[in-house]
Amino acid sequence: MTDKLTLAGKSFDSRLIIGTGKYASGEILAKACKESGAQIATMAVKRIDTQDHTDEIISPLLDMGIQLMPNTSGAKNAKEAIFAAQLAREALEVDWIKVEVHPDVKYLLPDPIETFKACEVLCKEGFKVFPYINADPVLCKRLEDIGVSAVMPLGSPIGSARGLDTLSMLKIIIRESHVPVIIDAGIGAPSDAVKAFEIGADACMINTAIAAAGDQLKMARAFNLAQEAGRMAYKAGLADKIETSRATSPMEAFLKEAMK
Amino acid sequence: MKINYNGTTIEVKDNLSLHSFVTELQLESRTIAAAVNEEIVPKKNWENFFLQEGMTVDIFNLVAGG
Repeated sequence: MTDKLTLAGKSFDSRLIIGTGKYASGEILAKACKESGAQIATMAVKRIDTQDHTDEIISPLLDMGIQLMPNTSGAKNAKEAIFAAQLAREALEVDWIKVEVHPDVKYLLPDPIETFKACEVLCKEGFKVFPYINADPVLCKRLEDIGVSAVMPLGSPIGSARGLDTLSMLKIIIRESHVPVIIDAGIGAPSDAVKAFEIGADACMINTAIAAAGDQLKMARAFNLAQEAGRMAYKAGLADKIETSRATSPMEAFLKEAMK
Repeated sequence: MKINYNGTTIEVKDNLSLHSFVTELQLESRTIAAAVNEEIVPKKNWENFFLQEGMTVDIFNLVAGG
């Protein structure tokens, strides 16, 4: 694709961001990343378990030249999110941070007030900030004003595979935003991603839809095709929706002639 | 002396630097960050940062997540 995604001053050929959770192994994850074409991947910060070597997921991704986007998942408030961001920057020497603050474990819906507070501090500290938020156009503008690198509104709750429940709000966000819009969470099928790109999303973040698929590599490839189709359709310009029909063949004139 | 490491009280030798502590845990080559008493200690300071009795040491790494 010739139209590149630009995030925080960096250009990417792919418009997919891969969430690295729920994969059986780092090897499958790396292959899925490759099939999806994604050049950006998220990960979480945790207290180390010396018996557990799941951090080995990072090496193959770095070898592939993937841009790492650590997140603050697990943070219940702004203070914890800021601490997680600082730890991630110290560990990875990466200043990108996906700010996630979701105290509610049932729906994992992001806390807008704590997220905003965390973003305000992290932007001032020089982080490239990517807030995960509900699809709230007003909040998006407030975040834009304080200097976030993009906004990441949700389509539906994390891992729910419900697709774009927030579609009408996402459209407003995309129309009004001056920073890239990454649709995050809830994308369950390639058709959801196609839809997201058709309405003008700059990027989509996918985790469960690929990680929980029967054939993860095939699904990763399907999402790769979805981003291409959706983005191309957006660039091509979709036909307007109307209430009545629009003839596509000169059938009416022919029938009138026959009736005479 | 006793310190609290990732939520567990453990016994370590006296005059132990944070760098030596991390090396003894065989974590030095891994992608980690360390905090002592909830303050991040930058890697460049680990050699000169000496642990003291009762300190809380937390070591973090990056794991899979969306």
